[in-house]
Amino acid sequence: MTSVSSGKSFHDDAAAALQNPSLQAALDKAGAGFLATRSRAFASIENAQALCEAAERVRTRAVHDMADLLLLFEQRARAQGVSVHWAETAEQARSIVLALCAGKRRIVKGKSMASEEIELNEALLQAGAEVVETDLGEYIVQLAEEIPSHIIAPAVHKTRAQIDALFRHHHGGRKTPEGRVRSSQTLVEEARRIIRKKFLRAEVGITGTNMLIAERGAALLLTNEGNGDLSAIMAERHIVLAGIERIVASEKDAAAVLRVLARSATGQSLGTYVSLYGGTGRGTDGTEKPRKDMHVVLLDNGRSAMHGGPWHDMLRCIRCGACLNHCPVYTSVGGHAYGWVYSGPMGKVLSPLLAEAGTDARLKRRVAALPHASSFCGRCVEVCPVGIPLTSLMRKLRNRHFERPQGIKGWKTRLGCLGVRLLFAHPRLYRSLLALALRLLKLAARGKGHVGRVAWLPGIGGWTKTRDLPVNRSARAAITLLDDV
Amino acid sequence: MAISSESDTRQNAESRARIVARLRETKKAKGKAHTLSVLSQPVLPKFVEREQGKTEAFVARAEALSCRFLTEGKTEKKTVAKVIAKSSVSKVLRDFLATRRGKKALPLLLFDVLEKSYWQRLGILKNVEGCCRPTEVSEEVEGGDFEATPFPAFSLQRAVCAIAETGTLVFANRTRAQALLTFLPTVHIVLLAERDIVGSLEQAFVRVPSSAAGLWACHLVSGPSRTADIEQKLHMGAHGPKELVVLLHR
Repeated sequence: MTSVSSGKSFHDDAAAALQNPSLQAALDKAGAGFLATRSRAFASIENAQALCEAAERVRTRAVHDMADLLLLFEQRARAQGVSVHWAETAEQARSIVLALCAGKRRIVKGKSMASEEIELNEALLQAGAEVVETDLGEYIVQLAEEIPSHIIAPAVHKTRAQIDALFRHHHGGRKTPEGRVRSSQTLVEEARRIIRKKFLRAEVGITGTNMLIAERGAALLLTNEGNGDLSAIMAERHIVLAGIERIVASEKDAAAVLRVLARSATGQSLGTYVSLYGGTGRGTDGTEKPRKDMHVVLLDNGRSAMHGGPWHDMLRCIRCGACLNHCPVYTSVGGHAYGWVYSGPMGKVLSPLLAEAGTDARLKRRVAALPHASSFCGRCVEVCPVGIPLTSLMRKLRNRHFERPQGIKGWKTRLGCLGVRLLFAHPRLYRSLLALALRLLKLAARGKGHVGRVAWLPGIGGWTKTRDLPVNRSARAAITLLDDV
Repeated sequence: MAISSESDTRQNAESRARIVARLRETKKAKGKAHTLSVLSQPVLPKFVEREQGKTEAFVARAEALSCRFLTEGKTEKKTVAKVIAKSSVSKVLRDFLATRRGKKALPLLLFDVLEKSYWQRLGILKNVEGCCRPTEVSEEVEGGDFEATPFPAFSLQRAVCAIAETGTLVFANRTRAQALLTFLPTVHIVLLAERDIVGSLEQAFVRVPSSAAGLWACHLVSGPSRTADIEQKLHMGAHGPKELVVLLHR
């Protein structure tokens, strides 16, 4: 599978990510910017809350009526000359796309998380096609043979120097003197020049979609670079990959979602390009004449199984990425530690559920642990524009994980659970042990070079490796309090 | 990968039936599809409801997104000066193109063959001669036709409307060739009538024709193409136009 994760688990990869200086530098640079632009975008509207509620209502209803709306979409799209394909699994979706690309060699792609989800690029490459990701971030990630680390900014983990080196290696041409890093403007220009050639010669364009509009039988595409549109327009054949939950009823409903989507993602009031594809079109002579063929692949891959059950709310997600940008775990370890295409809080819920529909046992095991990587601080819930209760979904997933036989494994974990149960059932014991522990902590915080902080503790070395445990006034106050009891 | 079209269709029907059945089975309340919008009244940002002068709002937001409005004078700050008379569109465009005349060959100015008579009536095609090479694109045009000039300099296109709420230009393209005008050139030049500026996204969608009325694709364009994928630094002209130039006329 596509994976850059070298370790076996989130735990290993997160630990490695914390020790990776260039990744940490990139995350630091990106983090603050996302938060500031989003909060500015919402602060400038007085009734931001009302706009979010409208978008939530639209998504709730669309998910509720998904079956009927999908059928309406299919009917309208077909009438306009668009082929609609239904895929139950990732494998089925891959073989539909492969069949549509049979005999075609040059393929350009707009950004599509669904295509990452079904690992389409590998399948196309194996079939002998040349596949070029055209979103600049995705292009960089593709050259580096990695997967996106952020759903909105796929190459957020790469520094300019790393990108310069990648471009030099893959584009060839005149060498710039070693040790000098070209400006980002130059790098953007170079990518524009090289990818433009790919657009002009493309036989198939594959894109994702932000929304399928049932009434119009059209796919809505939102980009800033215009790469999705060039992919859709330049090639003779346009294939749209869409998760079935991307459906909305009408353009009016789409407008309500658009108002919060770009604001949440990048702080813009609307993406630079919002396009609707699916119309029949007219020829130069004015008669109806579809000028190229368009295909929409509706991807289920575990989504219909979420419908109506405990995970139903997750289907509302509009993939804005706000929860990633506001997550203390994501902003510390980046997207790759999550081990799959969806990262951050939405990934912690979505990945285990979607992996269940697949056949990759290793992936299933790996992403099943993701809901545990949260402190439940709740910022994701606060910023979600469509009100998805991410933390409570994670909690439900944790419970389910433990209910299963493979849940609690290893004598250390079992012993720990037993100990906690014992302590919580006996308040006196709990208090006296806590007081003892705090005294010991105070002692440990007297060491050289870390007064007031504990640099290492037995049993939680994984935690203290990257940060110290502060033992401050409140800890001392707690001891006094406990002594009084 | 050889799938006969018959078995393909059968498999498609089976997958559809199973997916729809799973979605229906779990649906808490059964009912007809809500083909009408969920929201009986659109919820608009407060500032849109308050706005009186749509032109001012549109111009201000579009400029904030790096759109450039061509005027008769040299540099005009007032919005009112950015709305030019229709009769002077041709001259203003010529003046702009003259400043961009290349030293070598004349740059291309793409326009749609369906609109040829319109641009002729405005006197544009004749007037710009000497500054650029007006070139029509038609539905027969293939990507390959641009391999010699992968970066055509200019394109000229009419917007169906513009949105004050977001500073957006709306294009309803009837052919693939028209869509190329929106994305291929380095400088995208747009003609917009002041009366076609609407307040909200919803009002703009109403103006977009249906497929039955000849639409191929609709594009909402807010400023030139941009990317911030390298270290979150913003650059114009990622894949689409580097400049978006508007001729706003009365």
